[in-house]
Amino acid sequence: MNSKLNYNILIIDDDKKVCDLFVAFVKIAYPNISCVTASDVNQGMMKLENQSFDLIFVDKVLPGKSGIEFIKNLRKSLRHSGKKVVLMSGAMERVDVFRVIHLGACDVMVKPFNFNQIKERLGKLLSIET
Amino acid sequence: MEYKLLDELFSPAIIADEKGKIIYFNNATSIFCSKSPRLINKDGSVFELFKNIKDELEALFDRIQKSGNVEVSTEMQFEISGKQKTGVFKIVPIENKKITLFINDLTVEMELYQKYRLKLEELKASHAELIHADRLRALGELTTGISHEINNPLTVAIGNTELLQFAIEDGTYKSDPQNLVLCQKNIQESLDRIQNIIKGMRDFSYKDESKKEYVRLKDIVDNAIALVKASFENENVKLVFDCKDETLLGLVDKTKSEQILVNLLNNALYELKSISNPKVQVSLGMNPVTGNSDIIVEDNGKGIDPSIREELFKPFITTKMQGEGTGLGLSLSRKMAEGMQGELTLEDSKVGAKFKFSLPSLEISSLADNELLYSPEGSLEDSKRILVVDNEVSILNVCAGFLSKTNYLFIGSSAGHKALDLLENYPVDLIVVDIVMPEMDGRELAKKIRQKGYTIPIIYMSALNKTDIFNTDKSKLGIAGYVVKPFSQQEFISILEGVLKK
Repeated sequence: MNSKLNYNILIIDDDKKVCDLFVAFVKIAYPNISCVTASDVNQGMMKLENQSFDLIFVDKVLPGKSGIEFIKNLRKSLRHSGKKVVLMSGAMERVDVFRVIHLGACDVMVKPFNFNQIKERLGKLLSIET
Repeated sequence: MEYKLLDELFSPAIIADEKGKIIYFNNATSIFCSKSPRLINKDGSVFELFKNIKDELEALFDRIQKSGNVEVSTEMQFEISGKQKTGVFKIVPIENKKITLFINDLTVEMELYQKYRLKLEELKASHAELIHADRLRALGELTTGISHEINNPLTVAIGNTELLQFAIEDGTYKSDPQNLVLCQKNIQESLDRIQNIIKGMRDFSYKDESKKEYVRLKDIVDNAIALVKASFENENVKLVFDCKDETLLGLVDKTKSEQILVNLLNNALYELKSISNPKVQVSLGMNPVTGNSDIIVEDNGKGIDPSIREELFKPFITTKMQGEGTGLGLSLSRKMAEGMQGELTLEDSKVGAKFKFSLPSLEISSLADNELLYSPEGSLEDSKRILVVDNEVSILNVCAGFLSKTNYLFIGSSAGHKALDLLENYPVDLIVVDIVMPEMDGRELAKKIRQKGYTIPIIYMSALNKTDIFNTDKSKLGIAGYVVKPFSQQEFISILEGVLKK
């Protein structure tokens, strides 16, 4: 059981409605988790500079750099290489999943997701007892 | 009489008197009729031997009596000794009022022709199946991209439904009704988005008979791009559309045109897999030299190896790995393009591959598309050529539809200056112009037509009842009639008939 009281997570998705939904879900499931959102990789990197996050969700298809490139960049950087990242996607081939885990993502989440999936995923990855 | 020479003939020859009584027949006759000489002698007369076509033979004999010349029948199909035969009968008058009957046996040719016709029908059906299969394959290649495209709005819809549920369960909907409204709105928009995506796919995959219609070429490119967009994003390949002329129209099979472009775009995407900064550019514009509308798809990949440039459009040639792709995409695409009087070619380029899908101008397509030009029933002399000038595609389609089963030849044009170009090369019998058009409106066009000395009757078309304009131009420009949109098929045709009668 984790003794931490508050958590910070970052969500990077270009679809604002998806971000809003995610935030609304988290608020209901874990009021002690705060969410920050970004709409592309550059914005996401800027948020990372200012704040430390316990978990990052990044969508695969983004304008400009892709979610996969984001993960690669994280791994390369000294400061962020240890961060936990989950890749989200609307469609994943099996080979993609292996590739992404190999690159350093700690999990993969396929859309569409519902409330319970978010709740369990967050609970598991942040080691919060539900 | 010695008729020994006749015995050497491969084909039947019979000597008979003017009444048809058989005097002599060669061996080939026996074989042709599948009858022994004894049975032929029993029949005695040619009319009995070929009783299936007795009337036609009697008519031939009659003609001989009158003309005294060689008479030849048409191709005749008849039954003899239980077998179907096809032949041409030639009757030659000889001395003493006798005749020689020669038969050109075409039975084998007829059988081959029937078989050929059947095979051709089968081939046409297979070809149509092949095109449909290719379309489904192209659609399959889009699946990953489209799944992603649909799953995003699906996420929003499902999620907001759950939020609604929570709000109802814990009663917060009472204190915060705005939230309910927002959820409902999000759900609605997401479902609309999904519906559009599916509609696009369904329109593309629907198996329909080849049908041409007037379309804006920009719309075709937009639709093709919409179908592949998600796949491109998935692979992070940039896709750019440079539309140089939004007004270009074409008379094409919409779905097939999209299929050609989707094939080109999917091919480009495949080739760019290992390239850095991959990019595909689609451009649409009119070629000033040829007058055609050109759609160009070029990528910045490795390009096409010179050794296969010639072979590329042949069936079963592919640059893909084994098991991927049928090798038929380009060859089918080229056939489809040609079916629209268009072309699909590989152009020269320094970087990557550059494909050009070109379509003839609307006016030329329109002219070439008239079935009357090719049907044996229709005569070009009788058919009146009706030129309709309107920048709106829907009007051209409606008018084309109205005239499709009539004896009128429909030619569509989307702009005044293009109509004028057409008139220089092809005669028309009547011109219908929309009063309201960008660049050159109907009245200006009528003025220019009269300036050039054409006396062709002109009818104005308009959505508003502008009888004052009609009355002014009636005498000044010789405007023969007026039709108000929307009009029915009956109205349209009766106005045309009325004007053409004068």
